Amino acid sequence: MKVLVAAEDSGSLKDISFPFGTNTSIQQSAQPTITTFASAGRSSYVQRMIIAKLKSGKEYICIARKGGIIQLYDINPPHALFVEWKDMMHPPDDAFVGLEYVEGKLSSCTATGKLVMRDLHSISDSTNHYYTLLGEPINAFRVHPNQPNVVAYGGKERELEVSVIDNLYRREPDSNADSESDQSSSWCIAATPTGRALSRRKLWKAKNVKNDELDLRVPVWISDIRFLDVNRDSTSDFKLVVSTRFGHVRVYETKYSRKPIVNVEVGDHPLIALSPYTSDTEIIYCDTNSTTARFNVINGRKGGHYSGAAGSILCLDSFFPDQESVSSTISTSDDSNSRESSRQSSMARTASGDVPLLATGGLDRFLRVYNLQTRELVAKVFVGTKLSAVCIVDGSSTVPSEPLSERESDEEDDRVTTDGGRKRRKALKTEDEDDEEDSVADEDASKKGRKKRVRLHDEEASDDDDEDDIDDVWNLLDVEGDEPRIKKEEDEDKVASSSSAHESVAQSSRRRRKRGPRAESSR
Amino acid sequence: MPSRKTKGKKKSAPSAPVPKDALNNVKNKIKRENLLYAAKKVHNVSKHKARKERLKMEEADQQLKEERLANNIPSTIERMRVYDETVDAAIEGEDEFEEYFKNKTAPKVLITTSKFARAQAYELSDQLINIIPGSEFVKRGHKFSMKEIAKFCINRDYTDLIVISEDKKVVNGLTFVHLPAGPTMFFTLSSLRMPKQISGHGRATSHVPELILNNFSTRLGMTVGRLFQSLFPQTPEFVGRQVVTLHNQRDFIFFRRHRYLFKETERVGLQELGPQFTLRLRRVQRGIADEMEWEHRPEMDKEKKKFHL
Repeated sequence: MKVLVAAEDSGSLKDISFPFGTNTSIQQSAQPTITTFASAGRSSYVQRMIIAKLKSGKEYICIARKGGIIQLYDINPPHALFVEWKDMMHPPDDAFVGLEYVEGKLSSCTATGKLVMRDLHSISDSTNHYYTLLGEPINAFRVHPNQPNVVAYGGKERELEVSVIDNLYRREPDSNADSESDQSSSWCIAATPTGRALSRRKLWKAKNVKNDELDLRVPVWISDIRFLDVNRDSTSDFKLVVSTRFGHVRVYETKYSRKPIVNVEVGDHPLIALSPYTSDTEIIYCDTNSTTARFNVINGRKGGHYSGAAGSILCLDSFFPDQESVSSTISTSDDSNSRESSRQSSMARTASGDVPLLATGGLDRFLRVYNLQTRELVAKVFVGTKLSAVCIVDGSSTVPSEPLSERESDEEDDRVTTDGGRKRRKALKTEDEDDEEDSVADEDASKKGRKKRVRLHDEEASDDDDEDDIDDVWNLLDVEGDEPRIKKEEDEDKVASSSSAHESVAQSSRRRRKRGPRAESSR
Repeated sequence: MPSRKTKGKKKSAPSAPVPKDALNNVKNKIKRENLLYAAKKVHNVSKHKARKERLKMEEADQQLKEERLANNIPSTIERMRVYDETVDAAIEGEDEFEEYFKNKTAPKVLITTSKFARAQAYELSDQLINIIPGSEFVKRGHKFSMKEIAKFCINRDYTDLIVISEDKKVVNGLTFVHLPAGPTMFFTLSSLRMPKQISGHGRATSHVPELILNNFSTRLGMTVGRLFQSLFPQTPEFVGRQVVTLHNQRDFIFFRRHRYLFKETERVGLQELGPQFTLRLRRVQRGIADEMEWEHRPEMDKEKKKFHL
């Protein structure tokens, strides 16, 4: 598997490849390959990191650094810098509290409340930079995983708010058909007469919980937000879960109430981050005291712990193996039939191949990867620096750099992982079958709450076994890496228009990544 | 206990070491003891003889001694230490102590106690002021929390804050807060001996001491070592011939202070200045007591061969 981590001490990114079962604490076990890149020093360390998959199939590492810098790196080695935006107005002590990529729109939000939205499908367009001020302080920010115009945010003494961005709208289906040739998103932002501002409309605001038994006001300090039940058809009702610095997990259903429908104090220590679970009934949380655990949002019970961490966990990332064999594009995401079919097929996929994973990183300088469902430690890697962000790129059990041509026969097609078309270890077969049962049971339990994992593009719908092509693709990627094109201007968006070669490469590339709520978070 | 020496007749001691089991058949306890005593004596005499002979041989041939020392490796718990990948790992990037090491900023340390402290805490603070150059003591009031005190210290450009914890008239802990951005480390303190209690102790001078940090090998250990380092000015005054030692062995950190003395060209004499105490790391927190970086848990003591520093 392959995991990207952000090193806080050196401000760099690390690309870590290792097979399942890696444990650097055991000398005899498999050891990881760690490549460090994008070093920028502790003064501009990476605060948020996500992977953005463009409609063209090209994937980028999006990072938000301390000091107001947002960068896009190529996900493939040698990880060339693609674009950089620097906000000169960024106060020196400001921090990014959210970086989200939904349907072509890269949204970043700072602690002082500056929300900036950029369209990655038209980077060349200098007017694709839109912003709005949410007001300070903000400690948590999240964009709805299917609706880029819906944002949720909250902070210290700042109740959870859900806002809609009015001038970001879904393009009509007919107009979309016209523009299918270009790679632009089905969502577009209309400029307002006042300029490149996002017109924000407050949709819903939470109310504080009742006073405690001493009739004292319960303080508010939201540390992370996640949308639940993201596939519901409504554009006005949402289910959200928040964690607080006072140890609460709260679940809100905007349709029913402004107060939480579930409010549980899970521990004495401040909670830091939330991460999605395979079903919508549960959520993963971590606190400042090295606890990472599951929480059931239906009955408010704490689940099992992901144990092993010696220090506080700062970042979580859930990874779900590719769920759809039938791909669906965003433009058809309204179609409930396709969603149903994708859900059906997702069960089959999970059963046949990878397991859902959870990566954790924090102050103890270890990267730990767990099986999300069984909570077993899958891998443990000493990174050497504190980790501020983590992202699983490839969840296969083997090292992704293994040459593809090693595949001997087609007899076990379903055992070939979708990520990078790697072959799974046969040894894991029995384990997988166990996991299959688990996951099926899980799915039964949460049929309604199942998240839809939609892919942005359907180039690889017919997923043939043309490994030779892939080899060529890898070669091409090596040769035709984009040159970094950097400009630093205040609030100006810069572009490196992707070359046609690149697009073709990306289209035939079979790296696939689950789209949906992604966890990457830091303090 | 009966006297081992038999009065009157002197028994002839066996000339060769007696196997332990051989004595089990002797039913009389006193006799059995006497036999054992005799056997031990023989053993000791033969051991000393062998040593003398070995010394003679080794004086003749230096290489023999080197060989013996190379082969004679005592099996200690440290030698059986569980593999730790963080031992001697290079420090990557910068940490909170970068300012001290890069700019050689002079430390400015504030020492205080826990609330409502008793005599021993003040005695130790007196010693610490003596040990750490550029430190000053402020009596702890009951108004402010440690976080608030740390904030006040940052405003006054202190680089470190040390809080002596005392409970039931006994000093039991030390908290070090590196300022302005942490980390915070809490140690339990035991086996405190004040200079008065150390026989033949010397009187310390106000020179900047030299610092010896032993065995801080893991990544966590290096952080702890760097914390201690950052308490002292980087240029010691060698004229004072004073050394502060922090020796880590099996995660216990032993604090000692000595003055060295050149008696002749070959030998160095040591005079202990005191105090002595032992520290054990319990907690490392980021910032001023914020997120936990590392915490000692009771189950860590189960594995005797695993060391964290």
